[in-house]
Amino acid sequence: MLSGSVRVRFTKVGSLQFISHLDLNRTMKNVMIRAGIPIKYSEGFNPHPKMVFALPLSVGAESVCELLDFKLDRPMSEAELTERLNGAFPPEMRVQEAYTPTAKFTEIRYAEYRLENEEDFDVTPLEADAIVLMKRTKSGEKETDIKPMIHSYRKEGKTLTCVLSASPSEYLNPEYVAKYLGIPDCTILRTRVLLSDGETAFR
Amino acid sequence: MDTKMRSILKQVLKPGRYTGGEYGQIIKDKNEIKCRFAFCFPDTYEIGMSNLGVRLLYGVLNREEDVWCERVYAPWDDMEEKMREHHIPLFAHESRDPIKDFDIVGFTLQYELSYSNVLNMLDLGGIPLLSRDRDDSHPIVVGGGPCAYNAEPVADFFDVFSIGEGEEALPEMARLYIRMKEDGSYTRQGFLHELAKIPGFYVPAFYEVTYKEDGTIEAYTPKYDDIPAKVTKRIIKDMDKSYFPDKLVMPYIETVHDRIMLEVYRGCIRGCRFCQAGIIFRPVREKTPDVLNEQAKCLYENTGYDEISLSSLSISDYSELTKLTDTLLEWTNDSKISLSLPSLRIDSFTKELMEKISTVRTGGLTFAPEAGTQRLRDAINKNVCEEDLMRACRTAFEAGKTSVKLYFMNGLPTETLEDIEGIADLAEKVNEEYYKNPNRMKGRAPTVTISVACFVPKPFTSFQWNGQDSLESLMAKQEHLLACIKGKKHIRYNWHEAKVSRIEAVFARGDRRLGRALLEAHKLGQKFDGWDEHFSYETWLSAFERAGIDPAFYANRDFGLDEVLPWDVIDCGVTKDFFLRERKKAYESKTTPSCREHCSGCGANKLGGERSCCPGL
Repeated sequence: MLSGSVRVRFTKVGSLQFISHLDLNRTMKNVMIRAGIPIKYSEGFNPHPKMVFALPLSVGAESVCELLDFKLDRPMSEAELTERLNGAFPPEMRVQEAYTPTAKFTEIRYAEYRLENEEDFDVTPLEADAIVLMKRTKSGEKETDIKPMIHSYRKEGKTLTCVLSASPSEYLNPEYVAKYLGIPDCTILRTRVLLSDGETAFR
Repeated sequence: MDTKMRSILKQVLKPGRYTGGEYGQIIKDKNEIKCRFAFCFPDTYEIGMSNLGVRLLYGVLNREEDVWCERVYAPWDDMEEKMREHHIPLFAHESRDPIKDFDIVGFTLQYELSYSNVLNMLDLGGIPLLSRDRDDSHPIVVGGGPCAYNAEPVADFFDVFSIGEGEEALPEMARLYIRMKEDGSYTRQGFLHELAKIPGFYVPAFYEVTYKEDGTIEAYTPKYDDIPAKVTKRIIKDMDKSYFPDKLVMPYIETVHDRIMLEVYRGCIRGCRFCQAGIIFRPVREKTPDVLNEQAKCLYENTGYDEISLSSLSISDYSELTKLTDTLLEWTNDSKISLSLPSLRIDSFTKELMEKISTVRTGGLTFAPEAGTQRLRDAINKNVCEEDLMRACRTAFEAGKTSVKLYFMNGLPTETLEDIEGIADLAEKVNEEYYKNPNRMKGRAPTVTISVACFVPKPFTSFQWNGQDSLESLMAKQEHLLACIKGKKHIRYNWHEAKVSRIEAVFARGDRRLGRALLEAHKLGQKFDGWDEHFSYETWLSAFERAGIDPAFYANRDFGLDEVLPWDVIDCGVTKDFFLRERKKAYESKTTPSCREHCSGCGANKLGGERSCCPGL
């Protein structure tokens, strides 16, 4: 039985890769009403459902590990919550698991992505000592070395799996890696969210 | 999604316009479908998804098991460029199949300025633009919506028009199509002929138009004996029993009206003499509060929207508004749902009503006096007076509001400069009203916004014969108003581009010969005329020139009262006699009471209708 704080891991795939975080937020608000989830609302003049997402996913990327936290006003079983959410989700969103969270989102350091391209591609450019490119930051676009933000990577066939920085202070959008490798049209799938060792899954 | 499409969507603005995949979209098995219907809205996704009629017809067509209706919108120019570059024909949202492979392609014609988009979408879809160039391998192209009441300017591009409300007519059309396909009798011509016998379907090619030497119309002559000389619009008689979509397609991206639109009633008891909607949706047909309450609950549970907007032409004229809002408020407040009542008339705006609705909580208030003097307000039969407006504003100011927006029109028939000055005076009086409130917030100044549109004469109105003011006159009046409010910083003034309104007037009162001009404009790349960044008056002028058409003949000429009008082939229920009587009263500045006070014999009661205020119904 779930009560109080709840964390839901869900997929966001297919056409949803083109839906921005802001739009996902609005969609989720509708989903909660449709699903009849007794979610806690904020206090005040204009109450709204309190929801916190872990790592906003950039447009053009799919994910099987999106995380959403909210609070329940009354207890509900994991099975019921899952069934209700799946019924209200668009077809390309599915609940993977729902549980009571123990760790905080601030503990997330890395995210793992799978980049898959139709044609084979070369990943040796990733071996360079520094990978300097124009990167959007909070203070505008500037030259940034993204090499330190690439924790690890491995290539199998036409698929590159890489672990990239994903903390608020240091976030690397996998799109930069794709463009740097000359595979801008590859599919990007976020597969896991990780702790500071770059290996242990965040839960 | 294939790589090419994914790559394109990464490069365009708002890709969510094109992805489909929304909650509530209807996917069917192609193999079990006998009629595929592409419902096209000739503007962007955000606008099209906000249209209540499209949502209704999407639902009602998909209720037919063997019919699959999909949605199509006009791609913005960045997307169009990519589609043309990669040879991707216009496709439907649900299946991403090209619209040229559909059985029926429908366009809703909501405003004249979307005509250029209709042509562009047909072109992008690989469907021959002209009806006469299509053969049995092409889809049937059908048009509907308010502009179909005078669809003559686009008659060349459509095979058929559905006149009036489509909830029953469109499924009938699909059924006829399936029947004729199944029994092997289908030919394009044969199908259209059968369709033309069904009430509400107008096949323009079956009506020959002849012209007089002066360029006016001589006659409309049906080419077959078994089709009507005049096509009568269709209506749904009982709104309580009419189809209601209990599920909606939920857009991911923000749309213009991103909320529940609860259709309360159709028609209008008022008879504003410039207003087409108030006529063509007659007679009034109300839903009952209990039915509306059930429908609102159902929509809330199925959509998850937390805002309900009560939709109608004039919500305060709903005979059971108090009962409806009280019933809704019993549960909407607890569910944190806000209720909004757009289209409130000035004379109905009370403190009691304002406290119920949330639109009032946020932002300012909007009222539509339409004209600056009582004389002109009487001439257009607006039936509100200055004291109504002042009382409404006082109520708003007392509730702590500081901004008021007022809608007006300029270029109305019988208008003089005095009426224009009256707009400025009225705005000033509203401003003064603010300072009469002893409890006003000290140190806060009010903002009065006057938004002035150019009058466009529309078919099926009492002013249908009146030529539009010349461009020069409209612009001079705009300048005059600007001079009247000079130095008054508390008055904000927005006005409509007169050139846009002129093009709208050409097509609103146009006839079939305008098809040539549309074709020329399309060749010159004209599209999205409703958007400032795309509208080009100069392009339109050259299109008219190339087509040998004088726009003033349609926009600015006073039509003769005995002239055959391009829309005389359509019967909207309201008679020409009524318009003539009303027109006469306009010139005498005499008002006509609302239908609820007194029946003026417009003729629409012959169409029937439940919970109408017409005598004999």
